[in-house]
Amino acid sequence: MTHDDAPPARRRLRLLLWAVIAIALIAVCARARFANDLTTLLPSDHPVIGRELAFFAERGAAQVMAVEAWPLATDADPLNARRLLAELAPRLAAVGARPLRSGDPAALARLADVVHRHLPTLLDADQQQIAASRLDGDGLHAALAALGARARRPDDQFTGSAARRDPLGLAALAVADAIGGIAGPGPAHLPAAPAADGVVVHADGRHALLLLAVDFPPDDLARGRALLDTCATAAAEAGAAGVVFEVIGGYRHFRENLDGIQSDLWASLPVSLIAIAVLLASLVRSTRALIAVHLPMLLSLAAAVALLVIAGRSVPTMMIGFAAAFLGISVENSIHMAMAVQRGDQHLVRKPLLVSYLTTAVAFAVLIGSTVPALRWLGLLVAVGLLVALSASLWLVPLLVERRPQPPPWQALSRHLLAWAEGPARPRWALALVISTLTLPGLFALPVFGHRGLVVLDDLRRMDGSRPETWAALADFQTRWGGFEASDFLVAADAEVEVALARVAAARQRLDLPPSLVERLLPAAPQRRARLAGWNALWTQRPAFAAEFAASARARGLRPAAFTEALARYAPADEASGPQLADWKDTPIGDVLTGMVHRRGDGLWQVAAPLSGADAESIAQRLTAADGVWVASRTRLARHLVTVVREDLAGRFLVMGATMALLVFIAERRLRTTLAVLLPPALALGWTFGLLAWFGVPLTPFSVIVAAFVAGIGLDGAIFLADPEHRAAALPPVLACSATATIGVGSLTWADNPLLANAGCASLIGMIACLVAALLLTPLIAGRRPRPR
Amino acid sequence: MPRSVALLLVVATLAAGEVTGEPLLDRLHAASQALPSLRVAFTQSKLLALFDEPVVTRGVIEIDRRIGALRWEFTGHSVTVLKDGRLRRWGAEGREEAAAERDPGMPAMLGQMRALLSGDWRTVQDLFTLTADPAGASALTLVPKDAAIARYIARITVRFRADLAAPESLRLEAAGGDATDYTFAVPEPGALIAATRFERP
Repeated sequence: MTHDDAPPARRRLRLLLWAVIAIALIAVCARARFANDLTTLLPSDHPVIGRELAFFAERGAAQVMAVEAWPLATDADPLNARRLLAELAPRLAAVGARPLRSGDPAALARLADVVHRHLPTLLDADQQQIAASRLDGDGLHAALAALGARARRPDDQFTGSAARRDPLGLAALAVADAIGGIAGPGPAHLPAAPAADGVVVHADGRHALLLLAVDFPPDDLARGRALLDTCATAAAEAGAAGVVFEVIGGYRHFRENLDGIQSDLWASLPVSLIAIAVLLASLVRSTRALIAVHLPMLLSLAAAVALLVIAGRSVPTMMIGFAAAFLGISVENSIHMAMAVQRGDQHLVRKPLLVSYLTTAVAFAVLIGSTVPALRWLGLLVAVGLLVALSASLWLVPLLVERRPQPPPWQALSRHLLAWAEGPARPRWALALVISTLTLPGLFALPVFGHRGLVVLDDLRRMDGSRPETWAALADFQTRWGGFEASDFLVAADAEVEVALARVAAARQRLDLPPSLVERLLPAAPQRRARLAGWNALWTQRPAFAAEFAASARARGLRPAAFTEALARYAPADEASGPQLADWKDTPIGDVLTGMVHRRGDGLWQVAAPLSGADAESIAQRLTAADGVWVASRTRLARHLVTVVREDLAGRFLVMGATMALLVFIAERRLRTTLAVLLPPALALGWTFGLLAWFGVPLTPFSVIVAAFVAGIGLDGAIFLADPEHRAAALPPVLACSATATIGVGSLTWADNPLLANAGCASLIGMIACLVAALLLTPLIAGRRPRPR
Repeated sequence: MPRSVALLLVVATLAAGEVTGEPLLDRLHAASQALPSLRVAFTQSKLLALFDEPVVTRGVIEIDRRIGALRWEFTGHSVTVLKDGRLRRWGAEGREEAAAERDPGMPAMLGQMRALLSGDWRTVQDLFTLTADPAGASALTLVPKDAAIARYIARITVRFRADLAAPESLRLEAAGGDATDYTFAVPEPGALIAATRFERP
């Protein structure tokens, strides 16, 4: 029979009430919209973060990928690699990745038109220097000789007419980088238009690159998998032909991270679950009780999701994952209640249960005032969830668990542990002191061993679980090509596009940064004037250019009269209007430029010029308000986020600690008991992170969350062990809870994914430290059980 | 400089879109299907304002439709082969040109080769208006739809033999008066062409 003093009819009524509550929660949860988008949980009202979040949200995920190919043998013909890469393109098109081609002849013809029209303001100083080398002497002779040779080739059908407009190829100087990679390393941003088949060949002649625009974002797992599987199959085939294929880009990293996490979880989870089930079953010795102790956690989780649904928000899966971890604490408390019911003394656990739940709930309630929405919602979800769990533990579990008068479980172990925990004080103080002496200095930077203390990790890339060979391939690729997608930008916005362009150009000039595609193809007024002056100087310094050109052409079998149109262009120009954004529309560069210069939703023109190979952080620091320009950088954004969360938590942790201490003191009304509850988990946290620091494990936002989890369980254990009367009965559930948490989360210590491994390692050490600290110190401070007479 | 010129060569891709003279296109296609292989010699004459004299080159086109291959040889200059959709080019010295597949001008050549190989002139792309000869002659005229392309190519005229087995002449007129004329000799239908002709120069 279930243990409840109420008459059966009232018990049935209570069960019915809980069933109604559960159904209502499930019904509300059924309307939940689960989402992976975390941007709404980030502090968008922070001046820097908000601006950059809006910037990157507007740009969207970079949907580009690259496949690089080269012959395995250094002396092998590289042509085979290029051909295999070109043949890969149609196969990838079938799975949603299309080569970025320059294949549209009309677009290229329009490009040539724009460049020819605006040549005087498109060539910058460096390009004018190259142009100057072609305007006289050997440079001129070589250029015209090459033109003649090319035009005479029978398989060349159009050089003749094309060259009459620009025989010295000055237009190509202006757009060589933009059309990218025909004969050299591409720019660090995405080349707008590689060769006709989409394959870009490196200047070393060995490496080739297929740039792809992908129809879907990296987090589209199913399509991403099909795309990468196709690449893997092609890579295997290419390998048989002596060619290496290497996929570069976020799609590969995304998949490897997910596959790694999945593999890590599959490796640890089944065994952990079985071990936990066996452990708990041996403790409660009843299937019914085993199920009952999980109900408060499930109800609390449902309540947390329902809260978001009622608030009209989508349910961020990651946030619910964190909340679930914290709400897992309620299983621990339910075990205490279930075992008390089995013993028939549940009245003894009501107070510690109440204190345990309320301390954790109040601690998380402090987060409701956080400036970070993610923390705010986490605080609210956990606080509300824990209150539901408390209710269920107090009133539902007793309705379901049967009284089972039998010897207490785990006596063999708990009797000895308890005897030791309540043994002589001096050795335990000494042991605590030794552990503290060994671990706590690790928290601080020391002049010995080059120890840096507890380091906060703000480079989120180090938490990426991509395989080492993937990082190596990316590093090689970046060395060779300088990257193919920009993540750092110099940004300006203004009602006038000309003003925004001028600000970016001036800032870049002041900071001595190389110009990007934006400054090259959309020069601001000062740049246009400078370029025009340089262009005019080319011709005013060579008054005899036309005559020399004619003589050189004649000497190379070319008719000077054919170049009348070109010679009219090769002359000083008057106006410096320069090309506008609209001029580049429908050229191969149009889409790329539109991505960099566009009118925002608020009506302002935004110019975002890529920062290639420059350190975004140092550039941001060198910019001043007078520049009217700011840096948007994904890496910098991540750093800012970590800093904001860290600072927010640092202040709140003190408040949380103080609130919990106050609550415990109010509940216990004895300073000694309060100390017995608070000191062990606090010390255990110090030991944990001191030890981690000695091991060189950095503090991550996730290990901070683990710390809170560990502290929560540690605190609960201390609360139950602080009561000398109840200590003997509480010890087995405390041991079980520590063991299950250690098995469940600590098993991830050996995960390949650095994020999981970091969290697993922190929780493994933390759980053990909490248990040791509670056994060492709580009975010592709170006092022993009264000895039986 | 050659690179700069090459950038502009891409405009040469042959294309077709709105087509008048559907019966001629059908007949051309049907005629090609009846000829599994073909060899036809030609003379190319480039009349460029750049030069005082035309640049004349001889060559031969060989087609084996059974294996989907076409060889376009400018004798003494270069050989280009289209086989299984793959394009390869060898220079005068017989060395394969890595640059061929990256040459922005290659789509022009490729367009012509594909049309000749398949006999289907509809397959050429959609930048040109394709018109049959109004007088009923077996001829097609391609005029660029896009004004930017028209600055480089005025028109392309292809005249076919009466039996439609092969082209008789092809004239490419560029803006400014430049022109490239192909005059094709009497073809050899059913010519025996060694498979190795499509493997190397």
